[in-house]
Amino acid sequence: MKHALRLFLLLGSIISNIENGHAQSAAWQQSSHWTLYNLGGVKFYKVKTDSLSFYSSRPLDDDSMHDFLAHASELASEQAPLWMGAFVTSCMIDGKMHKVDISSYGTFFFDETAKKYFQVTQDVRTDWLNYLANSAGSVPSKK
Amino acid sequence: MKPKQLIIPLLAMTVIAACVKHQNAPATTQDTPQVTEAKTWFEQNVLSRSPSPNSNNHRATLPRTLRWDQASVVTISGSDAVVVPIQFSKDVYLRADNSGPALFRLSEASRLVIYKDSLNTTTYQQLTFIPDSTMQPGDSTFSGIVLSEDWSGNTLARPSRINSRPAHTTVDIVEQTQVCNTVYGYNYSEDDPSDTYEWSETTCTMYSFASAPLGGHSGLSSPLPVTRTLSLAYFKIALVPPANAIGSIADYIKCFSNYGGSDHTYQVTLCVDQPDPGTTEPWGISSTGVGGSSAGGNPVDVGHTFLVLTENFPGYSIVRNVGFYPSTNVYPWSTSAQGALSNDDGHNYNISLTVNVDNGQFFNILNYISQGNNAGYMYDLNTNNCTTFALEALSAGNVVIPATEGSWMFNGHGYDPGDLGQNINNMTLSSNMTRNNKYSDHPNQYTCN
Repeated sequence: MKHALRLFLLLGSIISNIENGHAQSAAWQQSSHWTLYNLGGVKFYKVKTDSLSFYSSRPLDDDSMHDFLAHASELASEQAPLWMGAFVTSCMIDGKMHKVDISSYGTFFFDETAKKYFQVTQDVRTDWLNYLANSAGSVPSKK
Repeated sequence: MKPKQLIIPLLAMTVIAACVKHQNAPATTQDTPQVTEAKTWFEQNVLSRSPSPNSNNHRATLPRTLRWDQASVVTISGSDAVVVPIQFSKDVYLRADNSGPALFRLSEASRLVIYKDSLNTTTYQQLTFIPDSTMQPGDSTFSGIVLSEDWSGNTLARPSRINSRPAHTTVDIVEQTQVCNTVYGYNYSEDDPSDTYEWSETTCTMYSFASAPLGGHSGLSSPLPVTRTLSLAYFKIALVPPANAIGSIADYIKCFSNYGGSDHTYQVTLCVDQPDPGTTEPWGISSTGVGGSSAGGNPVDVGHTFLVLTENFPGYSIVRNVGFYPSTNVYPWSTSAQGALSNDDGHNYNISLTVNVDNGQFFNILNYISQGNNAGYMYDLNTNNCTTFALEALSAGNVVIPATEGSWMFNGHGYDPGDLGQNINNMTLSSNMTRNNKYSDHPNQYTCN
């Protein structure tokens, strides 16, 4: 009986995770107006969402971001990896601006508005980082 | 044209030929008097007098031929116009900021149109049709932007939109910037991938898409009929997944040349993004919850150290940013992973040290860096992190920086950006060194074949 209950809970958890993953992917697919910022040396986590407009930026391609985020999944916040710098971006979801910090090396990113960690799949990591790095290089810090 | 930063490792690029054709009414070959007359007029009045190509227009510098055998006649505002496909000598692909991820073959998107203007004078325009992201494979009508130029590549009229849809978002982006009309191109040879290169044209101050009327076009009343002669194929670029963000370090640094003369100078800049700028603190503390808890006060940021490699010679600078990272996520309790080099040209830093070196030192540093992608070459937060790697690379070039080891949680210790930043701040500089305590942009520069 105990085993059956555990199995039931495990299956429930798996199904819930899958549904959450699908729901999250769907939310990212609704995102728009992706923008990448050059904070000019300021720490990425010290700039609030409503201050981003003071920094130089360039638009990212929404379609490309949707592709990268197609299979993004949520990470438990206790499993937060180490940061070694970040690409600071923002997007609009349901009419609300989200500041999204994207790790400069791994697959993870942090939605500061939702206060949630996510990760893209390892197979898109290279293209994702290349796309962001090359985009970032073309944003001058002077606005 | 300006050399574009290497966006993707082109040697690893494959253009998937399983593309989708955008089929319009096929252009019919017309050996008609109009075509013959147009050809004679164009050869006598344009080709024989054409000045040098506009060097800012890369397309105009490419060898191209007119496919008179595929010319067709369309009606524009009640008058006949001869439309001639333009064949570029190589497979040249292009996309624009607003054309989404798809690529298009330049030859299929370019047309010469010879027609009579409102004064009944024969004239011509070279049109380049750039589909926008709302245009889907199989769409029967063109939707996008048309560029109008003369044979030398000079702009004849501001770009106009054709059939752009109300829900079009990417044109909004172009309107927001009101300056950017960047066309990216890829010259790709399937038979000889090493002959692949990338180019771009950015015409940033000439146009304002925001005020461009739909379909409006100076001289040519409407290019719409010309779009019916198009047969656009959609291509997607697939990247053969490399092991890391700089897919091939050899390719990434291949532009550098090893010259001992005085006209080539070399610099290496050690850039340090301290976790807590101005202190030796090895961990940054977040007050916003980015570290894994909405309560904040979490150690999150270990900072980063990377190198900017520069070769200067008259009129040019070659710049490459390189940082060493783990290839997968690492944690305070799991600190080791396969190493990976990355392009750090957008990475922040708060202090840097620039060292002038000679060509021998420079290439020894490059050689050290080149191992960063090797299978089995590991990143370790304690023993071989980004700071260790940068210091060792400099050491390989006989550049020794005084460095202090730090310690951190989980019994971690080693070189770290916090301590290195303070070491640089406090060190006595040699005559070949410059210190900078302020961030400045450091984009990669120069591409080469």
